Amino acid sequence: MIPGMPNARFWMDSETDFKNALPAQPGPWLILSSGGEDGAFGAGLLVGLSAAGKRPDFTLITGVSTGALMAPFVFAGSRYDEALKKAYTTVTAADVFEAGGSTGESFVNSWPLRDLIDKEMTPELMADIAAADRSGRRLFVITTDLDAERFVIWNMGVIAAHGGEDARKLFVKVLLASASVPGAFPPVLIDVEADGKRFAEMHADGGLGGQFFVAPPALMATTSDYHLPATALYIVVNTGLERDFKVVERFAPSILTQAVGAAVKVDTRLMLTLSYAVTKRSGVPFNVATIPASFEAPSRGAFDPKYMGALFKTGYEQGKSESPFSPEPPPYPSGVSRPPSHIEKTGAN
Amino acid sequence: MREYIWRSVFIALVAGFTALSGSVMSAPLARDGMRPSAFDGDWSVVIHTRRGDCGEALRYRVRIVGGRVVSDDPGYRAAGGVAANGVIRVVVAEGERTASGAGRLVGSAGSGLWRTDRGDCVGDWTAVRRGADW
Repeated sequence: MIPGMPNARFWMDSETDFKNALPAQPGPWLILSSGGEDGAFGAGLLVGLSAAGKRPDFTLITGVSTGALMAPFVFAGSRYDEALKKAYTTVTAADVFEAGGSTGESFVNSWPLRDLIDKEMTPELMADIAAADRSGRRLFVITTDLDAERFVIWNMGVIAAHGGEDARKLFVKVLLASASVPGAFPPVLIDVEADGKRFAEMHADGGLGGQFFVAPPALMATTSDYHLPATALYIVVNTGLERDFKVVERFAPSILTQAVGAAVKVDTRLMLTLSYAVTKRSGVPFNVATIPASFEAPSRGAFDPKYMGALFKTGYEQGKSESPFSPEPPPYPSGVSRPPSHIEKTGAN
Repeated sequence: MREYIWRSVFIALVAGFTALSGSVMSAPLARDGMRPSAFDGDWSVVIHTRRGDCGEALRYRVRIVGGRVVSDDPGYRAAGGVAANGVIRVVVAEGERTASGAGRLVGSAGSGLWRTDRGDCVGDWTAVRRGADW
């Protein structure tokens, strides 16, 4: 447990803890997926929904990785839309990581992202999140406890409501951990207490446990008869699901990028299929927003503000449109891969 | 992030270290050997591309030992040095690509200009000395 905050978190596989932590009243749930800089799509979509005056008052928001980073802004209300937009349209790679600064735990150092999160998670934002929590709404962020090989759900409203600088620092650490891809970014050590002893747990990207989170795996299983206590489910997928043809260079980082990217798409599609089945079982309307297949703005590298700005605009327009969400998961691709429409710079040419 | 971070590392190693550049042969104070320098330590350098396709802004760690820029990363070669007055010249190379740059360090900060030797990218850089808690 977290010293002084016994209800700050629980294991993802604990069905009882999950049910106990849920909002007191049923309402619409918002599920924010991983996706790195492609989170600009989800940010744009949610700001667009606000602009159109049709963003639901979500009673539960869950976030994984980049979904976790945007979740506090969404949870605290539309008055943070400008901050959300700024976070996803003006940030550059220099604001996220430092190369050549490996600590031995990762290829790059993530202290710039840590400082950026620390700057954005202001005491005012913490107070608004705490107020929302007291009103019965819930904000969950997922990390991976590498030591235990288990996934953790952080009840962020409880942390914010605890108040004080220590709680705010923990809030920042959890967000950083949820977005820390193992190997690329260093894991985040979080001080905990068990059996009267204090030690540091090693936490990393929540996406290891799935690209988004709706409910514990046992409750999501097709063999379960669990009904989601929600009035509607909204899933925002911040990852392109279309095949992305590119000639892979014979270089480990390029090979890993393409391989992990392909696996993430498969994982996301499978989770969407399962989530759709659970909503049908529960009699809950299913809504999913994905990056349109037509989006093809070139990226000049990691966290390219022009690319992210274009993706934010695409999400924004979709959010303001008549049909921001689809009632079914997107169809699986078939046939040959889409040919490249441009040659993306990778530094080798 | 998941999709791009590996590529980011690659870009950093191959294309990005174009910032702090100069020529190994023209590096200042090479004669000073490894005498301690007021600028010794770790620096965080942000490279801004103002023209060309080399990434909007990238950040790298650079180490200065005895007034010389040291590369302990196998992904690239960096060499150069900083004079007692803070003037710095560095060249960075990876494969057939090289870039050079120059500028000045003052106290715990610095700035300057850079360009690839092919001239396809130009820009500026800023640097701050890294603290112990970074």
